[in-house]
Amino acid sequence: MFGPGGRFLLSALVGFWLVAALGRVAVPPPAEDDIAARLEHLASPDARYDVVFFGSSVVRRGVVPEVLDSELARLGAPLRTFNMAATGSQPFETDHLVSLVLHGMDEPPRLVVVEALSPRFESLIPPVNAYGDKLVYWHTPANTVRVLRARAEAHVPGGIGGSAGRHLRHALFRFGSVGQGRRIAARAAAVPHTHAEIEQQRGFAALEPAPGEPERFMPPPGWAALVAGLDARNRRRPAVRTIHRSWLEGQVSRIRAAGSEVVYLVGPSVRANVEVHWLARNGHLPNLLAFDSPARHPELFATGHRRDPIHLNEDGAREWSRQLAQSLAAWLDAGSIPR
Amino acid sequence: MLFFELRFFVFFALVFAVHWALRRNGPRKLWLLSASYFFYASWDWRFLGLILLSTAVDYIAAGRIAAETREPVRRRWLVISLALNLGILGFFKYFNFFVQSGIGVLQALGLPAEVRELAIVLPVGISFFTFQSMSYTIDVHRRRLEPAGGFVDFALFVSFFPQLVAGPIVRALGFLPQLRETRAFGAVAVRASLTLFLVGFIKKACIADHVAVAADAVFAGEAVFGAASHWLAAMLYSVQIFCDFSGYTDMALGLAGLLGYQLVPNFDFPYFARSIREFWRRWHISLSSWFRDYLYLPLGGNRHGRGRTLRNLMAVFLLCGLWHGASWTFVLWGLFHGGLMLLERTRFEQARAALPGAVQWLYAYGLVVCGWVIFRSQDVASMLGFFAGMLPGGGGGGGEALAGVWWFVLAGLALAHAASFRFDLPARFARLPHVPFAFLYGAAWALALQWVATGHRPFIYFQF
Repeated sequence: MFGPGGRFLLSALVGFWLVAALGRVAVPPPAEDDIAARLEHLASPDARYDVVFFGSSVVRRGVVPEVLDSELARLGAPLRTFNMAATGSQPFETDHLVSLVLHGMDEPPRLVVVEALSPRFESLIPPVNAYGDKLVYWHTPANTVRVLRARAEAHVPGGIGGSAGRHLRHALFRFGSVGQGRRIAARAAAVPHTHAEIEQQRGFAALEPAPGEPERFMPPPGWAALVAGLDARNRRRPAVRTIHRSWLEGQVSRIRAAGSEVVYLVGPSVRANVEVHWLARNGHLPNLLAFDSPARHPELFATGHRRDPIHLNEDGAREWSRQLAQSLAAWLDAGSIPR
Repeated sequence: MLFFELRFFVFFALVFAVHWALRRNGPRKLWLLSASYFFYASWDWRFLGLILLSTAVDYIAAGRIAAETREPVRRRWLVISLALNLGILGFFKYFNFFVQSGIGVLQALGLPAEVRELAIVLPVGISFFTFQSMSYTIDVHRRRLEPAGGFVDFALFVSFFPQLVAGPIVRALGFLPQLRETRAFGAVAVRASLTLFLVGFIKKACIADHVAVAADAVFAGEAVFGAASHWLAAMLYSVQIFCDFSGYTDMALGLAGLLGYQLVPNFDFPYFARSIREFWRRWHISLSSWFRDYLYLPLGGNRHGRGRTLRNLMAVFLLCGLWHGASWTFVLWGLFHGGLMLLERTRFEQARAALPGAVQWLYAYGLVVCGWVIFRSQDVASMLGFFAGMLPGGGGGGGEALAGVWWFVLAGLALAHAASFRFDLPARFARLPHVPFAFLYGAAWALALQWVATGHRPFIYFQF
């Protein structure tokens, strides 16, 4: 059937595919940001949570489950929460983590709270994160097809070109488990994760100042104007064509199909979220809890509560968690979300 | 475009397919020349002009030298060729170094001197292709070689992409005759070439780039490491530079082999040498033989008495050091090796040769590692600091240590290297039957990819 060249190529491909497949099975979830340990914790039989948070560092550094739970209990809505957000997490990456958690937990959480980031996807991969374990990890064939389709349909300026190459490269990296040898070896050596800290912090990690950075937040020039203008910026009309709504709708239906309700969340950062607010105003985004209005949440933008323009410090995180609990409780009372 | 990048794989697949699809030798050579220039332009298209200029001048000069019978005219053309090549090399590689050094001397003498540095970008592989091109005109001048059959042949000899940017330094005498014949795919040692490429890839991407992380940590000098960590880092650097450079060479030989051409080997297990003299017969063979044939022997070699031999040796090693880069550490590295070569020409050699084999090896490897410390250091001050750290109790008492796992890595690599030396593992692998070879080859690639270090580092020798 095949000539010598064909047999050679076929044998080489079979050998490659076999070892690559074994490698993919053996690669553990990313260790960055305790993702693997937190996933393992959520999949353990005694992990029972009513609410799980997903998103980027804004959520990871800002939502304190311990504060949230006690405030919810005080308000008569006793819920047990867990923070599964990851630093630098982009919408597709978050979506992948949501799927892993929902499939891994014995009993799905009642609420899945997802940080609503701009669903435009053109700046999906910050260069600093390129080839990071977690970025490669979520590039399964299904996710890669989904992200490519989303970009193709979203009429993003410049089209699908450059970004498609990057996604395909990441998918190839995942297919071959490129650079994952050390992690496979560590898994084989059965280095155990420590769950004690995760159980105690439940996924929250305060953002400490970097070495040499001042303890207190030093507002950059124009900070006051930036904060003052945020509400107005968020009311602008986005380039609607570039928003990929069907992907968003797909995420909502996937979460609901798993037996959970989805709540979208916007954190107190000075990044404008024009698309997200437009989607919510027009009824395309269910259950949005937004905290990026300095007029309504001035405490969260006070310099004493911030680590930088994007993140809160630990005091700020506790303050936000209290406010978040109040908003959640109000929604639960209003029957927007089943109790 | 690095040999281990995805885009290079795509590039080579295209070059390979078209090369063998073309039946006639002329179009094939033209295709390879175009691919080579594209490859070079992918680094920096501005330097294409430089390589074209060097190629054109040497092609014309060699033609005139061959056609001319009058020796003064022949010599004049040779001087033009050498002056151009050395001028290009001198300007791009050494201009700022010599200007800075000159200013340093003047300032040390208390004379006011200040010159603004030129922002010169070093063209990649310049030391390799200028040496290769120079050897051609010299060989034609010596009547050891007929000029190339045509410009395409010569241009391809200078720019052949597998060895363009980091050698081995190919001689026209060995390469031009290969270009005259139409290569037949049936004569290609496919399995051996594929194995060489894979071995080179593993050396570079899976070993050199991993151990570099540990070596860099100590050489950076930002933390206080103890003496053991300093020695470990120096040995890991010896692994890094060997795997990086010989890995590149293996890949170059494999790629050339797949296109039907043979390049000269550049390494022969240099760390198994028992003397520095033997080390230089095994390390970067194409460069050391170049210096031997075009500098050491023309200077008189060892034929004019002890004094002249010593002078010639030191001159060769001084220039060998400078060839690697415009820095005093490279000059010192060359002098260090030159000095050791001199030492091995004294009575010391009899004493060394009388030592047990293991002690001889320890002597040679220990000194080579010390040489790499000079080579790796950013400047003389950090070199002295590193040597101080290698002394017992050095490194400020050694508050920090490299992870112990690196000792196991080093031991494992040494064992693998010894096994490869003893059993010639790559050759045995290449001799496997067709289908088992292909299956294991694919599996080995998948395994190698799992162990690549993420975060690309260019080959060390690209900067030379």
